[in-house]
Amino acid sequence: MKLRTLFTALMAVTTIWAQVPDPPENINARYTVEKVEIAPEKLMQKLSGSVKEQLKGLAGTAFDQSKLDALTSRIGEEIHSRSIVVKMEKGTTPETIRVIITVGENKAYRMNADLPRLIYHSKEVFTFGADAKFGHRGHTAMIGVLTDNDMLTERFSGLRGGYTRSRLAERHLAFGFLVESFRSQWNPAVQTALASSKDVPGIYRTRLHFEPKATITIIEPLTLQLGVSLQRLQMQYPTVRYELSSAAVGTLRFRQRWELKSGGHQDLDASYDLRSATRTLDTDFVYTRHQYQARYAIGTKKEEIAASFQAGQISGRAPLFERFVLGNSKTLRGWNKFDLDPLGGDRMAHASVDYHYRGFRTVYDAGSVWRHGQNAKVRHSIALGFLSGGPNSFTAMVAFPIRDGAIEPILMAGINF
Amino acid sequence: MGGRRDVLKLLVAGVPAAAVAVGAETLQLRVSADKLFVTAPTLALIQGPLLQHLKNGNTASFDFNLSLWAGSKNSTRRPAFERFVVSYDLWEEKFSVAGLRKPQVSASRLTAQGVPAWCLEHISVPVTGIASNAPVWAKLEVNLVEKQNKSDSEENAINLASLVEIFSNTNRGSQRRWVFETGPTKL
Repeated sequence: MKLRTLFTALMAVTTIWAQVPDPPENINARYTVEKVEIAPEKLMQKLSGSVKEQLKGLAGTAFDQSKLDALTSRIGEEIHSRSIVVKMEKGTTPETIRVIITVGENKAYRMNADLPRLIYHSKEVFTFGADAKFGHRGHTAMIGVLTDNDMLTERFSGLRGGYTRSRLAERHLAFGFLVESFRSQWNPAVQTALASSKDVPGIYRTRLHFEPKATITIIEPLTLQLGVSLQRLQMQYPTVRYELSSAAVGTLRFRQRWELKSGGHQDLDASYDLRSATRTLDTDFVYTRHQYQARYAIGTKKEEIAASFQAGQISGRAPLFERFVLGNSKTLRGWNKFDLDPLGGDRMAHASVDYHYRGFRTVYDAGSVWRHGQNAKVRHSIALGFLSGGPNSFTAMVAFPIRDGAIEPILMAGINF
Repeated sequence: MGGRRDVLKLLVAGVPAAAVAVGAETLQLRVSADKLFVTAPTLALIQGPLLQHLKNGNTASFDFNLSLWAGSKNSTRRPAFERFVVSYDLWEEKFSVAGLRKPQVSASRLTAQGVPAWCLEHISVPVTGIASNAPVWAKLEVNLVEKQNKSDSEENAINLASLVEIFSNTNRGSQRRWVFETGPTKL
């Protein structure tokens, strides 16, 4: 009933936003574009054929600010410039205008440091990840460190690195690879649960992961990622030995942001992820893993409401790192993942409604993680807290499970959750 | 589209500090047809680099927030919000403004000084139920809107530069905001 009320409210907000009128045009939309120039002119050679076509196509048409914005954005991406100035001036004949796009000089190399994970969780303690990225004309190399006790049933710590070559085939193709080397640490609850779950593979000491992949842009913003995930696990029991977990991986993803004329935005991010480990890949674990995710958000700079849903299913014998976990910084936030299922589940469904207004944030989660043949038990939680900026900014929250009996709050603080 | 964002930041950084100056005496109240309108003679939105940005044929959006408190400043605020988009007609060499709400209001052939005055004529707060002798406070806040476009990597991770920004809150007190207040006074 609660979910229905929230859904109705979300639909009402969406309807109101959908009624926002079209943007007022730039007054110069009444004039015809005489010519579009790129400065310095030599940069024209670096643009793709489709961008050149679009530049030519603007000449002789009525000026359209949105088309020009999209085009300058694409030029910036292709030339790797963050400094683009658009200037318009009177054309040579009355009622015409000339558009001059000046592209600023750009450093040949880009270097950036990212913090993809930084969380303190009162049950999981610290999760931290830092990456350094080096980019040069569509080539990006990454190296990073990570210790994560949040996303899986294990704490995995180690190094990772990768390489991506993007914007190939007129920006329709990118390829790259990821290499990760982790050492795993296990909560005693996992080992206790393993003793009574013979169908779940055992714990491992180290995990070496190599994943080459290609991303194909089918139709912007729909992408298909295909690759192979090769993982070598140093199994701990009954004797130390290596086992290989190899799977073909594919992700179909739609991600789009719409900037609303009122200054707000709508985001839709939906994906289907398939991991299939078959004997043809010489794997010791044979399984198929499906995961569906969708997130819709609508908001302004001050507030945003987001509804998300995810579900997953595993058939076969999958290693522990593939199993679904709820009760962390992104799902069932008021619950401890080891209280739900220390080994994770092979079935999972979860939904969240996340709302923030200025510095205040509240999240309602509902979901279940269970095993094939068992009944799903839906659990709920609510979290309240503060954030310093947008959804990925610094956040501090206290989360409570919604249940009878003793309630132990969970404190979370960090970014990107 | 980091380029445009950078350009706008550059532009707003150049707006003279005088534009941010708060002068209670400069916000004047006027009631017409049970609605409160305000005038701010010293509100100068278009000058310096922003003027050049517009003369280059680009647009600039401004958010106008008008608030009214009656009885005491702890009473319920009566807010009004409008967004106006300003552009410069390259051939007529005059400014044009358009609101976003329906029925859509717009004006052309305005001077730079005429733009804020026109915007203020199109934002009002209802005063129904407020006694004529009740003390009132009014606040006008105008913000230059920056377009935000995040790349994939920016969306997925916080980089060190943005983390520094989060903790230092560098936007605080930046010169893209104009605030005028008045009160207590009477309608």
